Amino acid sequence: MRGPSLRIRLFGFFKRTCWPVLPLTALILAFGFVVQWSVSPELQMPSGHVIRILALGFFGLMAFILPAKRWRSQAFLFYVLAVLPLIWVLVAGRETNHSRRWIDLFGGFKLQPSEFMKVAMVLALARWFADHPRPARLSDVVKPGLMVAIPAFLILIEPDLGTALVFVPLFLAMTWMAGLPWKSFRWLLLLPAMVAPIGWMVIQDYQKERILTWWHQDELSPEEIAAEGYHLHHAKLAVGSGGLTGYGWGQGPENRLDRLPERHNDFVFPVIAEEYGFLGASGFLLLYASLGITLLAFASRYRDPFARYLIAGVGVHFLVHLSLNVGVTLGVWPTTGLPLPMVSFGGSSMMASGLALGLAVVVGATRAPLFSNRAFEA
Amino acid sequence: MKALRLRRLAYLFLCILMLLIGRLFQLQVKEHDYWVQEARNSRLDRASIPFQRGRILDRNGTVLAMDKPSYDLYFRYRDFRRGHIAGQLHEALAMMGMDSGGLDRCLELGEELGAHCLQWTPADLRPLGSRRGDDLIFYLRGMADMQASQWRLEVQDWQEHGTLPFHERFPMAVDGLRRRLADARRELQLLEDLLGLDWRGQLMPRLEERRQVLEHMVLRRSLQEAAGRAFGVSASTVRARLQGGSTRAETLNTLRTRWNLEASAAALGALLAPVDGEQAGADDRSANEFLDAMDLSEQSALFDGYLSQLEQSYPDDAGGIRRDQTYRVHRFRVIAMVRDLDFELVDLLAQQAEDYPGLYLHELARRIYPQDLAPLLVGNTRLVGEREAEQYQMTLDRFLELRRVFDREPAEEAEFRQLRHQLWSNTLRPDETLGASGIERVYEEQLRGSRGYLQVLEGGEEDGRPLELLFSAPRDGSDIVLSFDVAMERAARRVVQKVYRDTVVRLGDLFPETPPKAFMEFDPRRPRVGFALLDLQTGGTPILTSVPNFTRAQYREEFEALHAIKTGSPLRHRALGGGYPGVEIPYPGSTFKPLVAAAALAEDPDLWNRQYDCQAFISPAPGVTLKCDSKYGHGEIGMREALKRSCNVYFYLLARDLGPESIHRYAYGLGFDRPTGLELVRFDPEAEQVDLWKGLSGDARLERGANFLTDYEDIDRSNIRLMRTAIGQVGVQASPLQMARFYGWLATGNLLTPRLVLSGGGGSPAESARHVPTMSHQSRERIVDALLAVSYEPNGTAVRTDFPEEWQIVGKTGTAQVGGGATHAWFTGYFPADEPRYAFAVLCENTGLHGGQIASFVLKEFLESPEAGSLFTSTE
Repeated sequence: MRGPSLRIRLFGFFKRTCWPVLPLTALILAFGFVVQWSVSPELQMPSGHVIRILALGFFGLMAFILPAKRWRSQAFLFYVLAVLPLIWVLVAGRETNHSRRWIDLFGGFKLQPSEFMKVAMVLALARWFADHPRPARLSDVVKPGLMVAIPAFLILIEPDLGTALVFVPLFLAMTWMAGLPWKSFRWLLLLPAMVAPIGWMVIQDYQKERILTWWHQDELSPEEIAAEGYHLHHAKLAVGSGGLTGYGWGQGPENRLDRLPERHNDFVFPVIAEEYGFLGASGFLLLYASLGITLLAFASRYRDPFARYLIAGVGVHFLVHLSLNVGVTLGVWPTTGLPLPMVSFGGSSMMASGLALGLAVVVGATRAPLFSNRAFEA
Repeated sequence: MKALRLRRLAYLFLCILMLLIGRLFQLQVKEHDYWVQEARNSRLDRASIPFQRGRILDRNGTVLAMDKPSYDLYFRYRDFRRGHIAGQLHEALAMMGMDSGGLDRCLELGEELGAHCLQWTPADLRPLGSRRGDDLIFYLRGMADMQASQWRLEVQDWQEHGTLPFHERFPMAVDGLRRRLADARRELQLLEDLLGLDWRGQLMPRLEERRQVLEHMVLRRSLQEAAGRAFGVSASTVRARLQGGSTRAETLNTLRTRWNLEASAAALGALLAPVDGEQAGADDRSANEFLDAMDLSEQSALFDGYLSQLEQSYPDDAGGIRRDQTYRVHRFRVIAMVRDLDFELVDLLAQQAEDYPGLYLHELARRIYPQDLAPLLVGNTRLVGEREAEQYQMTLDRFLELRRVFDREPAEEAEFRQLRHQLWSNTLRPDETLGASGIERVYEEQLRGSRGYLQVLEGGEEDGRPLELLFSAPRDGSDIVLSFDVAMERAARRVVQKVYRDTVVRLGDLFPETPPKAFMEFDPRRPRVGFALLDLQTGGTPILTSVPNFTRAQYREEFEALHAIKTGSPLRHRALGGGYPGVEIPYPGSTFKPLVAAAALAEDPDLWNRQYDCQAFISPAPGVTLKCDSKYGHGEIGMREALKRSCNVYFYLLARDLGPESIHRYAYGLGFDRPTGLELVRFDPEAEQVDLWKGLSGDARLERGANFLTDYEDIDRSNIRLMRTAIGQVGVQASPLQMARFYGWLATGNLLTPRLVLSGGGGSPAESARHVPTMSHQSRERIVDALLAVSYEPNGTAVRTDFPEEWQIVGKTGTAQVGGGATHAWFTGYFPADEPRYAFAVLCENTGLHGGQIASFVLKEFLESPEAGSLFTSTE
């Protein structure tokens, strides 16, 4: 007896999984490609970025190699496999700007293990909370907390404060989704505030300077603007001068005159704001956020906790990056280096994003029963 | 339950999204105009277009001063400390709180000091913190010749995890240090050799001097900035409040209280913004003196102490200021070291720039003086001083302050535009020069042009090219044409030397056996002569000769020696008479007699015929004898003969009969009580009295103290003073130019104000407002007849000069006594008698000779010189 045709099987697959992610991802990638084209020297087509997009697709397909249940069963193994390069990078990583974040690969390629760690972390936490449902007390989240703390610490000492900080909201979101009661969860929320004074003592001087510069961003002297306030000031110049409709593609002066630092990477959003104005930048934010929100919405349909946590975790991953990256460039948060996945230049970030989205789609297609067809119902 | 949590999580992110969009709205819509303006400001760039300073020309178009492109050597400490081992050593030691002894000492004792630095361990560096620790590592790597990137990781590893001293962890650092020191010394030696003898062993000490000046500046500006923060205003506002008056006292007292300082308000004021002149009270002056008594490093230590105290106790006021000011001063202050480098040096510094970090070639226009003539008149330029540099900085600060204001009020906008134009066009920049003396100073406004500028908006054009926003063409300075004549001036100098030499021969012929004692003392090798020629049509001064003179090179290189000469100083201009020492007092002597004669004839024309008996002397009072120049007396003598033969007794007796009033009135009316009015010396022409020692400005030294007339009461005090005044021996002093001016009046009836500038000066100098005495035609003819006889009739005091008849020299000799020195010889007058064209005065100081024995010969020889031919040609 022949089974259903491939077309029917594919239809069934996409019907089950969070399919709107795919067009949203495509739109974001297209937007990113246009922006990377805009920031490229002489406005030449960024063929390198095409390769990175292909890499995203490749890693997305890699998620299909294993079935959902294998991803679940091997989640901790992937976690360990992701931690090992973090140790390796500290030992033999390439040093750039006083930090070791990359591992040199063949042919001049390099890899940033911390980007893959984020995905592995979502995977591992999803597994943990699927295996240990409904944590009731703080002590119930100590072990997953340690799971987060170890790679976060390794990344912190690279040092890469921005990436390490991503793990905090990720962990908080996963713990919240897992059902830790509010009376315990609030202490988790207070924990960062409580350790902040200690953090202030241990962070580097330049990091303190960044925080102070951010705090006093409207009172900077010309010297401070020329030094530690340079990034933020030029980001605000680009954003603010964009106005309602922006200068148009490739026309933003801060972009075109090479005045905006890191504009292909961590500061890519000011280019969007400068060239497409408030309307374009808001539209982009809504588009990007809709990816995360869609994942959260789909996650709520799943009765299988692993699928729910994983899909929601991936959504949170993108939303956290969006919030931090854009917030930094707008002066809402202190300046810290964090790429905007799928839009920024980084290849590792792109590959990790592909993998994360692939996992969400693969796990989302599981035949596990759904709560309801209506999302967000209590 | 789980879905609810997910929904709340989604709401949370939606809230964050709204926050981001709200912020986006604030920046892009609400504050859009502000950020557009800010972005535009930050993209504005400006190119300065230099101007050419005007030339100074003589009346024939010969260039006396002009701009010439040259290369100067400039010093920027920021690059020096980052690239030179002496700077690296100094900064490294300073960061660790140790006194290096200065840059020169760092290079001299480099091995010893460097070895000390290389003994530091990571534990020693830790208290500095991350950023300063990184800075120190930068200097350590530099001095150990380990800048290559291969060392970076290893040194960083040592800094983070090491325990050993630097030189034990990196043994090659010791060799690196030695190598760098040897290289630095060799390169320094080469540079000093090319700079010349004066620079041997001096370059590094001079760099250290400049560094100390910068440090001083950083500290003072930091204190001012802290004061600004204390009041919540800018430093420039604080400086304005500290200019003087009640706001100064109030500001200082508030600061003292706020900072809990023990120092007095005046002491704090001296540190923040010292005042002098009328603004300064006794306390201010005393505080200034206290500060001035310290050398720069002691002052800096004092500043440092105060600033450190503020940084510690009042971080809100002083925190981080020192770093800001260091950044600004070290980066933007560029100091001129050596001007007009020769080709070899330019080549060396251009080819091996990396060996001389912090030393830069700067192409600019240099002022040159091709004729090297009359430096006291033409003047000099100088680099912008501290005061002007401070003024520039204040203007710049205010401009930047206003530029950051988005919604400028109309008044602020007007001020902003005015400041912008000032800064870009007119305000003296720290690397510019300005007139320091002479014509260069007095006509600074005309000579100095204004810089042009081109302001562009980077990326402002559609195709990405800069958009030109503002353009102002440079305005070259105006040329100044002097009435001065270079050829004649040179001829006059040549003639003076010749006449002095010839005089010895002539005296030998006159007194072959027993020459008088004064003749024996005459020294032909050291002429001291002032010679003025006044154009009676224009008031121009073709000749203002002063011998001895000096060259600009001597002035630069031997100033101390020149300054040390008290009698016969070449720094004194003898045609203008100022600043004389006792033996050089410019009494006019007998050349003053025509003024007395004119005053007498104005009172009573019949006095022309009055006869007095000259018995060689008179005794106006018991025990007082006033002599005549004639040993045997002139006998019965009238005014014509008295003028021709210069009879003192006649004028003693005439003055006695005439009384002091008319003599004083004439002398006063003819301006003997004040400077001549030459543009270089400024005074109030309306003033009844001018203080010749204090009441002058401009190049006051040129006529300081000269051209003096005593009070009427003083002359009236006794007959003896009156009589001696009448022969120009007390109560009146006059420079050759003043005398030429008087004889010009005698010739034409007009009292001219001499003009050094013929054209381009932007208006004629102020004319005297006072009433000038008049003289009848008959009286003038009589006096002129007598003075012609001086030159051409037997017994005329200048007849031995043997002037050609056609010259028609109307002249008067004079012999002026000066206390304790040989007499001055004068010859003054004008020519030609029929159509007066030039008035002249020659003063030969301390020759011991009669005016007709030397001074008249100077004129004759000059008029015979080919260069003077034009004087008679133009007459025709």
